[in-house]
Amino acid sequence: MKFSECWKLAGVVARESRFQAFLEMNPSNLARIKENPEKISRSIKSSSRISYIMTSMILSMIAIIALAASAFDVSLGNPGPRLAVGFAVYLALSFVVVFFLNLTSTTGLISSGVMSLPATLPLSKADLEQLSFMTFARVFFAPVILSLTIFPIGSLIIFGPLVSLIALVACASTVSIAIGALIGISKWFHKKSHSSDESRSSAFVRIAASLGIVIGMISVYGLSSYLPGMILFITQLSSVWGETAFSILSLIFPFSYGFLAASIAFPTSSSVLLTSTIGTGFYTLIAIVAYRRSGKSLREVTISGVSTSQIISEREIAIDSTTPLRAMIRKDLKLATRNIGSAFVFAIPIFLVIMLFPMIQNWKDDAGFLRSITTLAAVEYANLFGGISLVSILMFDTQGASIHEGLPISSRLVLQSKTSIVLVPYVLSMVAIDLIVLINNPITPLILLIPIIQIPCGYIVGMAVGGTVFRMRGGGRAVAVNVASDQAMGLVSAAVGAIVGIAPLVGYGAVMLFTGMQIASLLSQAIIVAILVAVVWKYVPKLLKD
Amino acid sequence: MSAVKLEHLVKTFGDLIAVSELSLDVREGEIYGLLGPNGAGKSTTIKMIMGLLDPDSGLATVFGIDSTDNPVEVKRMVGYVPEEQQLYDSLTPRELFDFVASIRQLPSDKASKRAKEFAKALDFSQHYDKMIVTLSQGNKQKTMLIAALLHAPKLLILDEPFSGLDVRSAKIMKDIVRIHAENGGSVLLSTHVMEVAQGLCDRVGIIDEGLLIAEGTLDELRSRAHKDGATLESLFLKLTEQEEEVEEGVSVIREALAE
Repeated sequence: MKFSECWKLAGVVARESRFQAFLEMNPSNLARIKENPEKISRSIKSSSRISYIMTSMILSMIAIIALAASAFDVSLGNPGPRLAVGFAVYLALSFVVVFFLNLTSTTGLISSGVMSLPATLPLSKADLEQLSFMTFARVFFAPVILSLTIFPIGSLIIFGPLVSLIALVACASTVSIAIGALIGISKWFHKKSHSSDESRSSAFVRIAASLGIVIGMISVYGLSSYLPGMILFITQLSSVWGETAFSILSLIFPFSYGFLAASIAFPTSSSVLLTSTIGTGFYTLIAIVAYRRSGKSLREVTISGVSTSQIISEREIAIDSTTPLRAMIRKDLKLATRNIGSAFVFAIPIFLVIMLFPMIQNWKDDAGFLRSITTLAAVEYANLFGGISLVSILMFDTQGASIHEGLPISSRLVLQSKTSIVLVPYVLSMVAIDLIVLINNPITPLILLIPIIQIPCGYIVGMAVGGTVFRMRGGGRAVAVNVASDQAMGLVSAAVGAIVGIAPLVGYGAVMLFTGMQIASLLSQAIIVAILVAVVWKYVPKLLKD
Repeated sequence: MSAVKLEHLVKTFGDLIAVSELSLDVREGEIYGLLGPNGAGKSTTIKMIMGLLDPDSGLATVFGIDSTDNPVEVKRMVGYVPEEQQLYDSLTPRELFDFVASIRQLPSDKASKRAKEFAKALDFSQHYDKMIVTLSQGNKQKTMLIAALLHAPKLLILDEPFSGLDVRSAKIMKDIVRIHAENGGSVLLSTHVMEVAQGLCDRVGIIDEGLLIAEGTLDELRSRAHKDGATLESLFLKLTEQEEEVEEGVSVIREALAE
């Protein structure tokens, strides 16, 4: 098959792969796709475009900051180590970006069985292999090309052609190793997330992997702001240990490339030059092997698929019956731990910490104390995220429509189960806020009680948001909502969560303004929380319909 | 009391009249076949009986309970197998049946006994702990059937229940339907397979473009169509005025295949 013809066909297969990956991330589209296929199609296109733009922006930003810090930030140490560490940090971060931002695409490529149809057509084995490789290349085209161009071009401008050449080899090696790791992890995750092994350890691995992946995906967006700090930390560490530290570091990936580049750009000891040359040669060799193995591995998985079959010893058939509410929660948790997109809900407290930590540090007063207003603001952020959590959990219900339709499940039961699940990330968010406040010198320990008293508000937020969504989208009946395709509901949920959750905080603030007494303020917060729980308990079910 | 009673049921989607003034009864202990061409309004009717769609006018009741006013109570009494199979792909049948039994608040021992019996009868035991996504179409259908039968419902509503089943399982399923009716249970069955309806149903109702155009036993339909000894298939084509269309379609295909 001609290259151009294969490239064109690979575009069709890659589009299908993106489509499948999108459905995997947004399960509710499975049901909605028949209702409004054009809308979903547009959504997938814009989602791919946004993903490309985000990857490009992140890679560009990291490259620019790394190069600028290496070349011009004298506060980070001598120019040699600065360049070596800046180089290495960029390579490490580009590895993370390529790895995490493309994990779902790769999982989709493997799980979708996109090569099944071409395999039935009159194509030779070589053609099929070429097609699967090009499909993969098209999915990764933008990040790979960007990674191979931005940093080497920047290095060429600032440090000259030799450093630029090393940068090119280093970037190519990093991409190759990242893609090798990506294929391996995707295969493993697909196998784990499609395995029906019920053991606790397997469930733990699944949850940990889902959370790790989601947190990784969220974290890359904040990487660039931590970059100068990371360079400073490593250069300081190295200067404490002296020349030996550089020699040891230059043997470790990705520092080898950085120290080799630094040895060429600036005068360095011969031992560092030697060790970095050895390291560079070794890791480049690994990258070549990874490239070859990735190609082979990719061809195998896209054509033959990943075997998720296992030897199942037949267990006794028995039904483990529980209460309807517990059954709903148990089912949702099982579904959540088998889907990367769904696991996002449980990563919300960590996302909140990543977002709030630098903000809270900047909100201390002149004396270095953290005041109650900061805690109130942090809790209000958690209320907003609580609203988004609930609407995200409603995405689970887009599966299993055939089962749901025949079961006596009332809208109230659905809402109660979703609210119960939302309480988990909400409580964890409050604990996380307390921990952040605790390590940031609160003006009085009583401030720590604000998030604790707010905990029942998870129920208020869940019920109020759910009731509103059911009323607006289902006329009171329990409905599934996909935040990705119904962003209006995402905004409404965040707004309702923020509005109902702020009432006790306003109560606290008002009493504090009038009395200046922490105890009275906390008491008023507790009373408002109690009143809201009662109101929600009594009135929200009245909005619902079966 | 009727198991299902429809009175002047009407449902429209925009300009399309999906169900028009439909009235019928499914008696207790009876197997009733709902027949009709594609898009006739069978599934819409069943969805209104289950309380999944609100009728524009008219009434649907199940054992006297209004499907619109109290759909949860209706679902408590009914075992329902919809035509489309949207299961929880990432659960196993074991996990799914645990969920169904819990929602229906069935005692574990009773539910286990029934699950065990159905799994054995339908040769399903070896699939009990596999993820549903990995099951074949037929085994997914068996999963749905077991889930619908787990609570020993008084009324079974089956929308195309035999699609994808192998010969053995289809035979067992038909026997399950018969035994269910013999024990006093009722069945409302929607199917395209005329042989199944002819062999299984006590009475059939034929709907076309939302209207009930004929109802009765096979003999009653034969006498109405003036076709003694006719099969249900030929009666169906005659009553729905599709005989000529079918002949025309076949001749077009014959020409196309001969080229």
